[in-house]
Amino acid sequence: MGIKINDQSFEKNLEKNLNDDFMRAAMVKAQDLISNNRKNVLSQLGDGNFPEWQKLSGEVRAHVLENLDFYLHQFSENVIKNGGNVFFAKDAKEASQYVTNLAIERGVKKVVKAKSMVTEEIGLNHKLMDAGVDVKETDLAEYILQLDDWNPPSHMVVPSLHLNKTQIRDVFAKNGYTGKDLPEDLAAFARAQLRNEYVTADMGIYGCNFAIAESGAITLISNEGNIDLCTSAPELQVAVMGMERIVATYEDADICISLLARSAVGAKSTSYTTFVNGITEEGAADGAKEFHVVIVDNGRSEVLKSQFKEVLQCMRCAACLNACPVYRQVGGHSYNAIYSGPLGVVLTPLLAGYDDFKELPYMCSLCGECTEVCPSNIPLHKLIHEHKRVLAEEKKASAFWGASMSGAGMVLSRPWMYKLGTSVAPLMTKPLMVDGKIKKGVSVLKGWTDKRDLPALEKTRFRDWYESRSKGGNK
Amino acid sequence: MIKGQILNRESFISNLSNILGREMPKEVVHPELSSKPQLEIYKGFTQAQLAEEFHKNAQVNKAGSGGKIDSLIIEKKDLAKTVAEKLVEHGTGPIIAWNDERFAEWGLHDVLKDAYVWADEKGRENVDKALNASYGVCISDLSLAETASYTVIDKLGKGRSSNFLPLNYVCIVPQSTIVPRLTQGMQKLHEMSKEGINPAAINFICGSSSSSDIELNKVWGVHGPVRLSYIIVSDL
Repeated sequence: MGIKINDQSFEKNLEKNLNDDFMRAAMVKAQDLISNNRKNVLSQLGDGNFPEWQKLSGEVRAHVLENLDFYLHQFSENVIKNGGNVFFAKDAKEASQYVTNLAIERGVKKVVKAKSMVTEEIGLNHKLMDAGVDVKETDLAEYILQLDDWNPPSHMVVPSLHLNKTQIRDVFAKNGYTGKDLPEDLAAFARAQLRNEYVTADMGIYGCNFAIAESGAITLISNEGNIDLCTSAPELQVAVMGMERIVATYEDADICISLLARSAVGAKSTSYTTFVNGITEEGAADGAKEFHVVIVDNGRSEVLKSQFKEVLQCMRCAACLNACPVYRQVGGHSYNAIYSGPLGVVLTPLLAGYDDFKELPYMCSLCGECTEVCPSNIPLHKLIHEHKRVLAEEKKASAFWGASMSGAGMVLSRPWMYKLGTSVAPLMTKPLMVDGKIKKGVSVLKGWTDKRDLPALEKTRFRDWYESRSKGGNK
Repeated sequence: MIKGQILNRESFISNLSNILGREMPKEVVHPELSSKPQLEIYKGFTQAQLAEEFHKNAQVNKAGSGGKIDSLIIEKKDLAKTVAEKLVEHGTGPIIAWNDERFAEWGLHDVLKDAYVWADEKGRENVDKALNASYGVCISDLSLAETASYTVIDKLGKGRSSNFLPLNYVCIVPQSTIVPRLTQGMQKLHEMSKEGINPAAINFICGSSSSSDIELNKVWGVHGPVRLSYIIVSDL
């Protein structure tokens, strides 16, 4: 799949998603539910408080980025000591090719795979399938999306959020399900389908929440337990990680893990927190006999040397999605990338370029709520603002946008023009008025009036009204 | 099977060093955290108090799981009877247990006499037994009061699949294994790692397998155990 999820224009995506009433309601429900749970569990963080923990997490993550070369080196040494192998991949192609070659060389027929954003980013599933490997996504949401012809994820933690239970039942029905659209029955069907896959797969593939430099451990966090099964039975196992997903010590991991579950799903802990340290003991009946870690750059080193490097502190909890008023309205697919919400707005143009994603920074009102909730202390809204600055100054914004801003700058910097403009505006908008309201706007007003009416402009300017009021006029 | 292979590290790391504007340092001094609120949680609690907190938090998990999680505090003299009751609570069926001498020491020999005991030398047969087991039985290696988590540290005789495939799971939690929270768990792993001990897998588990992926409705037993029972033993 890669980072971009389809070739439709940004406007077409948006239009389609704004007309999807179920999806939009689902986003609202998810935001409200997860955000409320998050607030509750964060309030129970002992005598500490969220801003203090947030600061600590930011310290931990920033320290690693400042010494990323050292910690990746240390981590790779420890993976080796644990009997594993490490492949450093400069881009998506190298990473997916390495895993695919491994599968081919070992005669792998079937892979069980746990949810991982970076494997989506490098397009691993399709690469493996092109090589004739049967890939089984095992996270329930990813399993649903796979059966739905690789429907793209719309949320980083709940990827199938945009599908309702009836749609899911219809997807399952094409694969032998005959029951009703009850969530527990649908989950039971998935359980029955997948359990045997774990124990017959030749290869397990999973991501990495945090790699721990001091031991070479891969940390995996989940509620379903599918990741633990992917790390249990298959003899050949591969962990794929973005190069920034590393912490120095177990002590640092404690801070990050403590915030991750609380921020992602509003729980003190997920059901399963797992540390994988390479191959299993000699003679063990299950566990990895061969273990590989693939460390992926794919544009991250360019981010590291840029003014956007703090985004590499992200732990993919999706708290920013759950807080964002724009995401709430448009849903994940409107970002046209696997990374959505405020994180996607910052990260996607950095990894995939401005050409296809120059609209993203404008999907933000700069309210700053994402920054408030970020457990990694990333100033997300400031980074989005910086994207807007770069786009404006490097003229990557559209000609219309540039002309509009130039026009606005000219008017706002000249009081006489501003006064003239605001004085004639009621007259100029009069032709658009119907029953005392502007119902059919043109140009930039059209986007607004397509959805709701615009109140008529007052004949008296605010400044004039205020001046008159201070002199005892009309209040 | 290959072991110990590192590919492309030199170019990858030197690129990062260039970006960071220096050679890769030989050592990095890890700065002290600016504060340590994590150490204040359950600070100074006795083992009995920690057991109470573990139980209390397990009850919270129980309420959130619609009863799929259960917890009780008992004495060692009642362990065999309690485990026997738990192993038929949701109907009878095959049982799988670790190969652990403590079961016999604690008087569970008869209770587990029909259980399949994990035997690594039998290879994949173990996994098949786990796949078809109605109950799994384990002993927590380390237990976290704050989240009511038990821990299994991978070792021969335990098996990994035995922890994740059975339909129902019974975990014996010796009170002496309970620590305040993940912080102390991480300290333990840090100490082990310093001594060169890095078990192949360490699993902290605080619930049964669950998912909210279908319209955010919580469902249980998506992949692993549907039900989980903690038996906290106050004098172990």
